[in-house]
Amino acid sequence: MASDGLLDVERVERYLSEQVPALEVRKVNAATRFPAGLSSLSCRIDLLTEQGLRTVVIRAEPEHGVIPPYDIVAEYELMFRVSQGGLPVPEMLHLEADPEVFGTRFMVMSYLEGEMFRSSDPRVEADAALAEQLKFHFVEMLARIHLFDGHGLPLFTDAAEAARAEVRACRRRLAETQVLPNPALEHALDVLEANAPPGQRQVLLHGDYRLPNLKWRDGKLVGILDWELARVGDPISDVCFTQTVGIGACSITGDLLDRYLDLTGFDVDDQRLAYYQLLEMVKGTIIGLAAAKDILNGGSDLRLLSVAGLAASAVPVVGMLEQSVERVEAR
Amino acid sequence: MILLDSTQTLSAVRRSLETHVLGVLDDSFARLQVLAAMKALDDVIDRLQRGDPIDRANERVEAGLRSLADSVRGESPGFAESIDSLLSSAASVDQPRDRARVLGEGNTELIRRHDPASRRLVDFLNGEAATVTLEDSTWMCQEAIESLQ
Repeated sequence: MASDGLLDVERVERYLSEQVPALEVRKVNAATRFPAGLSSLSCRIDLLTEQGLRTVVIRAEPEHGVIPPYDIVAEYELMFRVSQGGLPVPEMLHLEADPEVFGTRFMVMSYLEGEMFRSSDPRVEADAALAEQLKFHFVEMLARIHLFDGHGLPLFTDAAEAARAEVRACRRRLAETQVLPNPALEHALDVLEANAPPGQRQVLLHGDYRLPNLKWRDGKLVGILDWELARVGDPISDVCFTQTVGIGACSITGDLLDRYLDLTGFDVDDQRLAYYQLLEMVKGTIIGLAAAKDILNGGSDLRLLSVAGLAASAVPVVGMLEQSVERVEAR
Repeated sequence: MILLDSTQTLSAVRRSLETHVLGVLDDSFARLQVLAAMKALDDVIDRLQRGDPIDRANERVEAGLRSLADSVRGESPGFAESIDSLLSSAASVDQPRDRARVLGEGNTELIRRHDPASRRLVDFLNGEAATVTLEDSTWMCQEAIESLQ
């Protein structure tokens, strides 16, 4: 694979020495791929610099992936603006926008030390105090993201148009990636297109806000990772993501939802909740189904098979949610 | 390899992965690949023994469509005729996955007509998706999925 060069210690050492002089690299000790994640390729690069040992991360557009098209340049620029705004993200160190250099475009960022948790993590399930601590900071940080207005992303005419744009993106992805036609999903997209609810505002959405994309130290949230699905839209979209595709210890429901509404001053209603739950499920399902196409296109990561299977198994759930949207619309 | 049938060969490959490869792998990503490969082999072995699940799904969808057409022929004769036509088109396609494609595209068109019977078709297809899930999800590699959550 072309991007394998990013794991070539000597090539990376030469590149960083020449192109990122601020790092003052003396030697690259190791380059290893992070096993988690299915889309962007992330490598841990352990360095010896003039100041001592340091770790950075190279994040690259993948040759194969489930969320095409990838745009690492947009992700870099957004993360840069987000970091300038005081949200905890890795320090952006360098962008390589020429795909010829290593066979793919990539960015270099600092490595954040910290602990990561899975959505349903036994450590969290076994420790009620830890769970409460994580939930508190989880919802507080989502509120901060949603209240951050320096993101620089273009707004739509209104939140409903933002939702319809997301539905259109889903349609494109489905058309480009589906192996067999899926009438239930097509119908769900039709329902979503016809029923986009008016929203009070458009905010920066992370798009993949869940525990595995967050880093923690001493119970504090110190890093928000994986911004490749970020966009603008109705804030309830991110909330509904935590209730569906991103479901887990920090799902924002009940008291946690009340806290989110208190922190943001936003409101929510059944219509938008039902709508965005369906949209997030459809999106997640389409992303998952794209894994099968990725395999057909030459992908070799066999986790893709299971992801495609999981996505296919979500279709009946999507059907149930779709009925709830129709019930809400019929009132 | 004429001494062994395909199932026996694949079963040996699976045993080899489990016995000789998995146990010596320290790299977590590589272990996940092997675990997922073993599950994929389970699935292929099942298909060799029970046939391609798409065949069974096609049969169920066609039976469901026939039943739906009969039940709506009075209230929505045009919709019922369209189902008949779809079933006729599908019957002329031999390859199971091509047949599934014809059925899928045809069902999407039928749903988009917004005929009173469309809702019943949607409900039937959602039910069918649940059946497929029960039948087809057992081979998924739980470790691979958990690694991403």
